[in-house]
Amino acid sequence: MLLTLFLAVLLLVTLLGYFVGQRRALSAVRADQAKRSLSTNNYGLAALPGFYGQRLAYLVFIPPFLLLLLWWLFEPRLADLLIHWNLPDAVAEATRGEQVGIISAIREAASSQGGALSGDLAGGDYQAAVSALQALNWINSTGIYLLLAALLLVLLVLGIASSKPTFRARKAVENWNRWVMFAAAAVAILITVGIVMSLLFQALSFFQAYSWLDFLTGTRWSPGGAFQRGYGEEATGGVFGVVPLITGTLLIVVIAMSVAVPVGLMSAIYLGEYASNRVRAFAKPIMEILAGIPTVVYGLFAALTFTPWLSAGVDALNGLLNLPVLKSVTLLIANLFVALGNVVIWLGGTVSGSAPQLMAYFSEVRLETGSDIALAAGVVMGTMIIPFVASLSDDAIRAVPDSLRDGALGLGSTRSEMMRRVILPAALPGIAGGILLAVSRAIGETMIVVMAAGSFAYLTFNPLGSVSTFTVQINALLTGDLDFGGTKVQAAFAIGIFLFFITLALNTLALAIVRRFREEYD
Amino acid sequence: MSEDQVRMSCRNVNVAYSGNLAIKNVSMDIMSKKVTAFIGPSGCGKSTFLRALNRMNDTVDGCEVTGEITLDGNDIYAKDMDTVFLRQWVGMVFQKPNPFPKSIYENVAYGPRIHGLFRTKSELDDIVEQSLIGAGLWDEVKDRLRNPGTGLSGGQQQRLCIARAIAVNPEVILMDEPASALDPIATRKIEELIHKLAQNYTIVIVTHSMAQAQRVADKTAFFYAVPLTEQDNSNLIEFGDTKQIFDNPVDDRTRQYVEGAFG
Amino acid sequence: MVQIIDPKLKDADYQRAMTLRRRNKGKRFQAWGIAALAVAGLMLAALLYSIVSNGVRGLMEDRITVEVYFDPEKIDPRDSGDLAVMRMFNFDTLVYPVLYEALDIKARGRSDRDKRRKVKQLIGLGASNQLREMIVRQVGVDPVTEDPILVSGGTQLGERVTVELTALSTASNPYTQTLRELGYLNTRFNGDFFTGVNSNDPGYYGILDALVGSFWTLLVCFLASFPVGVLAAVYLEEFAPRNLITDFIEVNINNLAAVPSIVFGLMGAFVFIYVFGMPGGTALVGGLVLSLLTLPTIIVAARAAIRSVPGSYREAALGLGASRQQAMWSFVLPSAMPGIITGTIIGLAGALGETAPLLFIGMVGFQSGIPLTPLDGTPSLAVGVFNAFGSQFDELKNQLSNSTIIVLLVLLMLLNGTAAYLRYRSEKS
Ligand SMILES: Nc1ncnc2c1ncn2[C@@H]1O[C@H](COP(=O)(O)OP(=O)(O)O)[C@@H](O)[C@H]1O
Ligand SMILES: [Mg+2]
Repeated sequence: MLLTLFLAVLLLVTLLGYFVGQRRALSAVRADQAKRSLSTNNYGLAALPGFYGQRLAYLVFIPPFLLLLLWWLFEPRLADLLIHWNLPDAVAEATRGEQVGIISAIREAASSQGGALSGDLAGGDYQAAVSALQALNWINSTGIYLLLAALLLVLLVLGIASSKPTFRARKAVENWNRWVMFAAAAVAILITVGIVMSLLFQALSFFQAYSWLDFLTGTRWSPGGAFQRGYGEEATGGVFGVVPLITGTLLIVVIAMSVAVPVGLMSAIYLGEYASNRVRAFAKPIMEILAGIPTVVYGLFAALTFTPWLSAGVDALNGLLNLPVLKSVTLLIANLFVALGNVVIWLGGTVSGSAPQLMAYFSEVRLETGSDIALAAGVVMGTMIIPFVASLSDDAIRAVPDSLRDGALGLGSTRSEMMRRVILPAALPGIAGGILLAVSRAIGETMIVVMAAGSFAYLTFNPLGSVSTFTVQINALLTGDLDFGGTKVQAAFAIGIFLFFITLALNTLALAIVRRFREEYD
Repeated sequence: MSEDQVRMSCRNVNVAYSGNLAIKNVSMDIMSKKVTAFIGPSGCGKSTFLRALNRMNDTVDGCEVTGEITLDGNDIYAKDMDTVFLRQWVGMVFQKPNPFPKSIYENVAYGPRIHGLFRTKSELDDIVEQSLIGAGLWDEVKDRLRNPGTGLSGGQQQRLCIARAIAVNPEVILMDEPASALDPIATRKIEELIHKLAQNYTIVIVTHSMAQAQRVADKTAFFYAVPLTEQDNSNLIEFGDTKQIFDNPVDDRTRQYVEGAFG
Repeated sequence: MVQIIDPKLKDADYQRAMTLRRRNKGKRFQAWGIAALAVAGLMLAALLYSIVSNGVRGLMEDRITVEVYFDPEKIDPRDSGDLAVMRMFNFDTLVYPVLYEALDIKARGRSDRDKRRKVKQLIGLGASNQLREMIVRQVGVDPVTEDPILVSGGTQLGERVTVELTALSTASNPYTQTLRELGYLNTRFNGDFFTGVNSNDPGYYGILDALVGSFWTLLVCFLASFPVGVLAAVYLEEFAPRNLITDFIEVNINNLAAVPSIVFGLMGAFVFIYVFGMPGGTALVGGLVLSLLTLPTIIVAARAAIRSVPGSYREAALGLGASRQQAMWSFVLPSAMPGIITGTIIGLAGALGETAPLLFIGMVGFQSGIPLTPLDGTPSLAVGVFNAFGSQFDELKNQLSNSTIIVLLVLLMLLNGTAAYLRYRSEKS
């Protein structure tokens, strides 16, 4: 209510300020004063009247508005902090469930009439928090507006008093503008700070509850296995080991890149070097459309269409492998692997996932696929990245000076020899930088893997198996109720910071490579 | 106002681009309602000096001006000098015609707008008409004031730029090779215009054509990029009446230059 | 003296053969290029085929038309006349017997139990509700007792009414064909898809809320990122001093452009919802999160556009006594505007397809109803695709999800087409 009223008053005063500023400056010009000199204009002012108005409007609007905005943004968390500071130390020992109960009781008491706590909290050390919260509530409902009104008044009086004809209102307005523009540019810093702070804040809370060593070296990722500290339950040891996520992400990225790099690079070479204009007019849009399709669309395609196709393909392959002619060969190869494993076990080692006992030999070879296939997610992700690789390769190839091209052709190379022996080696750093950028994008890609890769983090490199990635797990941990104090949500931020720094490092490296490469030819 | 009044006065002016001197120790007086021409081989600092006269160099990173330049006795490099006012008094026309991508009318009206030179629409219409008449363009464009200024021919564009400059009612107009991008006929028109404008304005013109200097200028200054080691301490080699500079130069280099020996 | 060691090298035939081999190698290299393009083209074709073939099916829906007898014996066996009692009745059961009879299935007994289950699977989730509404409707809640306020739906007990109900999973149901031949089942255009809101029931599923939600989200995104992006670009191109802070800002912008969108989602959830206490699941927060993604795009595009404006405009304005800012606002920025707008549209198109960050801020589409303001909870189109994908019903998971994609792609084409047109026009002039 007061908020609306104040905003209305603020707008009104701002508008008023615009006119008052002009009037005030004009009326202060003495009639005998020289018009138009090197320091005044035709009005006898140091700036056009409009600038005086604009300056007064800025002056009365910007500071109160900023104050109000900051208050509005940060007040919700301020209440939490106030309660925390005023709680007795003993509360820190309580379970999370109890803490939540106490805090909500305090909030309730603070917003009630008397402000008294009821039940077993009454009369305890909790009253301090209630009073603090009540004070905050008063500020929020009344105090802040008194302050804002006073500020507005002071600014108005100051502004009117300083609207003299010699005042350089244009400079003042342009200074305000500059600050606003600077603030806009500084938003980039704010966002980065916001990302790093929120990731760090939550991740640090996570690592207070979970050892970072176990996090980094653990080979089991099973957040569902509870680890619900609080809510009255015993810690049942949810397990957050990122190794299977690293291998899963790696597997999918490797598959994606082995589709995207050859296809993207060769497309770029062909389009740049060989294609006729007709082919180009036809092929360029293919790349543009592939680049413009949202990832959720790729995800749906991967999950609902491509995975079944791949399964069918694998079934057909199984049939082929077990054809009478081929069967003996495939069996021999497969059993050779088993034999190798058996030798390892016999020597006292272990083979991935196996108990230390000899493995049985195959009588039939069959490739197994489940409902999620890493290969499917990887190939579709690779398709998504094709245009990205193609355009970066194209940039790199174009950056190679024509003199090299002419030189190679002049020596009698064929076009493909020129490309393979001269241009590509010269463009290699640029292409490598582009591939790193593509890898970074593949690592951060979410929807395709959320929809088409598995949610259970198996530790495997089998491309026909099911794996999970960082982004899949962030999504799984964050969907549903957002309890920022809970370990699961905090774990998502812990992976997030991992992801953030990996991609940051890859990008910095890639850009450095590309820049070095550019300088070489500039 | 006496005929021989000094409008701008320059004393020991140096201009440096990031530490490299482009103008060294130049002193001269620019007379009111006279045409002053700057001549000299290219790269000798004519444009640099011209731009120092209305502080256009302020926008160049690393450009530094020392010495004293005054307009009617006011130091134009004084701390509290507002370049907005200065450039209203000392206008500028550039080498390449550069009309704004707007209508002819708006091109001329822009200056009066930002300086608040009118109260009513008809006053503005008046200013635009007078300026276009002053620049000798009115008859050619009066029926198409709403057409884009970029649609005019090169010579017309340059006269539009002159009209735009005189619309803010300056005292001094600086012109940097205003005719060098134009054909001979358009050049002729510009030169006639400069003659006419000299009745009301102080004009400083940079030109690479000695014939043009002789045709339009009352005073001529010869600039030359002296190597730092040389005895002379200035790029301004000689400054005097145009007739004297061309017919009877004092300095050898001036003679060689006006005789077409170099540059 | 260079000595030719191998006399073969001088032999013309040998040389010709070598050249041929080299040329063939070149042809093979070229063939690889064509193969690469073909792979890209085939994947795109497969993708589009999958979308269109499934999506078009989602635009049609199967309906079952039956004459329902509102049997008073069943609905209100004690003849109480109490609407609250009638409301408890399971109205589906009025439909099944009709179909059993038509299909020659025994209504009782063990032998036909599986067949009965198949028939039941055909009838959509909303059927019971639809029939109930005909008899009794809830119009509000009593403020004191909190009991629902009920009125008659217009249809009287004992009437026979022909109703049209949604049919589900018809593609895999064994009775679809028979019912179609008997005239009980027919296919028609799925109008609900465009006028309905998101729902678990494929028969009622629509995208209107997601469409409006996407509009609000993009609007917020635009309002947040466009002014900030343009002002930042103007500052960095025209006014920023060369110093450490400016360099740091530039580094940040470059890095932000490469941060995975999911990280923006994490940050958005924490900062906007947890710290600032903004309402989760709304277009407001969604738009703000997406604006973090579009901001670098807009800044980069705007800077390029500003840089390409001829310096002569600025110089001319300054020569007339305009300040640098005046020159900026009156000439440089307007001339750069087509380029800036093109970049902005491309950024917004990216935001329209963005999904992951929106999931974390609660835009999951549990709410139903059209969002009237950016402060209402809402899904977006892209989130709608993901939600439909999560359904257990084939129609929703496979077909309507792809229909939603078609709408999404059409919008993207419009946006990108506008951007391309603007670029073309400004390049021409
Ligand atoms: N913006 C600038 N930055 C650095 N040096 C400049 C700049 N403008 C001109 N110069 C240098 O100053 C000298 C004088 O240039 P200028 O005044 O343009 O000569 P003129 O107009 O007589 O041909 C030249 O050596 C030129 O290289
Ligand atoms: Mg010059």
